[in-house]
Amino acid sequence: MTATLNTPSCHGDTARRRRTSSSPTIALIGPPNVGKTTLFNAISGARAAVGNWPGTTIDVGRATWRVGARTVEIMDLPGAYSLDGISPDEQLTAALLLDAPLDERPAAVIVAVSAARLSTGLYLFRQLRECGVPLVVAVTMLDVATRRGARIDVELLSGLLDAEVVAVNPRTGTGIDELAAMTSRALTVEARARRPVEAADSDDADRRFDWVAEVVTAAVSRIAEQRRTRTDRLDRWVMSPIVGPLAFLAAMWLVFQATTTLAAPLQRLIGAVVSGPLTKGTTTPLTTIGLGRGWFVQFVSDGVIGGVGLLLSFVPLMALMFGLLAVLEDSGYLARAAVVADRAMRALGLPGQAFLPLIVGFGCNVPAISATRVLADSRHRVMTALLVPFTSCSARLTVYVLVASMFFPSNVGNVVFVMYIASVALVLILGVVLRRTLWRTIGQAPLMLELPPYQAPRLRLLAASTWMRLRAFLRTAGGVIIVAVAAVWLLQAIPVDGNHGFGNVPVKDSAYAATAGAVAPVFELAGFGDWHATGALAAGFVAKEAVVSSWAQTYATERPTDPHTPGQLANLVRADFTASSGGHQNAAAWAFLVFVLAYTPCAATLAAQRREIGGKLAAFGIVVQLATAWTLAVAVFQIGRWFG
Amino acid sequence: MSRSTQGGQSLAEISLGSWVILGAPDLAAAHTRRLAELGLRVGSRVHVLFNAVGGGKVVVVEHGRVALDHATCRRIPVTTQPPP
Repeated sequence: MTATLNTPSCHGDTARRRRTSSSPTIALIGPPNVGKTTLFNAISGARAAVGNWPGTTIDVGRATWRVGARTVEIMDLPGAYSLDGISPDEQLTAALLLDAPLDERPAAVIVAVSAARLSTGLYLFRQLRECGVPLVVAVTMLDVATRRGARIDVELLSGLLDAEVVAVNPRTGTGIDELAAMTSRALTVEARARRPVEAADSDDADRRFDWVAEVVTAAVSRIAEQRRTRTDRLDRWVMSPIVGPLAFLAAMWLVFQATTTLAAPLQRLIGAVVSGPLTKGTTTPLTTIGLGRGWFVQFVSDGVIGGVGLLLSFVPLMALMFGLLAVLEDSGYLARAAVVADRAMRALGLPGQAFLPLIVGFGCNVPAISATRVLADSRHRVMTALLVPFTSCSARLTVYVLVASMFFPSNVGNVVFVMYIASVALVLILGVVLRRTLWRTIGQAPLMLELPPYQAPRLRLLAASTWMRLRAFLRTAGGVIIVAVAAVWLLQAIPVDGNHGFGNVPVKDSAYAATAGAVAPVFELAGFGDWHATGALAAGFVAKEAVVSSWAQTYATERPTDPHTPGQLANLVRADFTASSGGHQNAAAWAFLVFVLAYTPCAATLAAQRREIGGKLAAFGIVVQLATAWTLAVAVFQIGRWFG
Repeated sequence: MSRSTQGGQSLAEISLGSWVILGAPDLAAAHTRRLAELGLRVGSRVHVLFNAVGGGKVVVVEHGRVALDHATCRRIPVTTQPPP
């Protein structure tokens, strides 16, 4: 189903309807930061699947749920304050509830509302009730309301709303069974359209707001004077003009370190297991049955297992990233980070939360793309996901060091520093360009953000959230990564002369070299129109870690164990660059570095982009990356050669 | 957002700990509605809790906290009130 994103309306839904499907759908909705997704995770456990709604980049969680004697599908829809949403995510929520074909609409809706901020959810409730949707209300955060001096009379609220209301605490599981029972009863209620929701009618809006105010006044009693809570006292520092940015940078530094330093040994361990016992355990039986060291065994060991190994090496990295995201979200800090970084990110038209994926990108682009999930507006997610590949990940560092050691051995550190500065500049410039061309409307929205209270993250919920996201990543990214690795292996196995057999050919005589040679002229204007360099760049499309080894492979020389000491490879590369650049090898080296910085980081990043923003936008991203990289490389070489 | 409220005080100028009554914001209709959805309607009584980075404010609405940026605060006229 592809939902239309029109003004919410119940038009055309004048007939009564009853769900007859054996597995009806329940929608879980509510304003942001009321614990809706925590409630969804508590209901679904590890059974949930998250993914983009078809035809959109908007995240919708789905899971099965046992309510009474039947199993239903529950959907976690994007947070919304009303059916008159501003962002595409909010508009999707309204469209799925009101504009979808009758048999595809949810049979009942659970509206999550915060006891501390009852009014924010009741406006949405009122709009849905006007549309005749069967409703159940789940009141969250009663403990927070109590701490802030308020008490909710749930029974009275139920009477005022004329709907079943249950107090829930998704962090402890309290009230979930009762919610299931109420949802089961709601499924027996006939849904009928009473009148359309007219977003533009301000009188209607005022009438609803007045009704909400009356309900809140009646159902909420003040049991103590409003006093400063621990959250308030902490926020005073965490969001203050001086300590706030420092705390924010410290949090970002921790995330960056965790996703790079902590993940690295685990990735190495997985790599060793895959290339050692796993490869041996797979190829030995094949050899035993008589397949020897033929191409099939090589394909299995270097192509398939190599691809699986690359995919598995991302597991610790992604698990850490998703776990940290869950901690930041569940603890309530992410909302504060958005406020702290708001002004800095506003120049790019992005909210403060976008700082997180852009910082993480300097460690690895793959978890950084996934970290765009912290952004509530899908347009912000798309734009950030398109910018992340221009953040210089640690894998590119080995190429910088290698090339700098070959051409500028006494200035390696300075060259690397310049590349990182160039990366930051590239993100800023492209962000401004995208904002002024494709996303002119974003960035105008003012910051109006509800701040959830701080909470200690619950391990069970963190684990469920991490596993749900990790599983979704592996499912989507697995195919792309394995196919990319296998494709490179295949090109290197196909001989283009008559002197070698399939799978037993030097790289220079393979289809890989022939393809690189055909592409090489494209880089003549950049000074490195040579098939060895092009071949290395092609391998870098799969993973930047592969550039150094592939480059060495094209010269049939040893891969340097330390990029600072390139040895024989340096002489060979310098000779080729001197020839291809007409004697301006240093300018060509800078152009090559700039191309490495700006072109597509790796297959895993593409897979992550495809998952987060869809195939078409990921393809658009490749075009932007290649066009930017080529243009900059040519510009750097053409300008650089004037300086020698 | 370059304009602020015409005459009178805006939320941006209010000192910490003050209680204010909100006037009609000078914002796009959709953003005015979003403020109302957050509980910041014309006539609402709110408490200014503290300043945030960039000159924004965190205000107490009902029993929740809402952060607003400086530009938005400048466009919300207010009348100060004595504490309850």
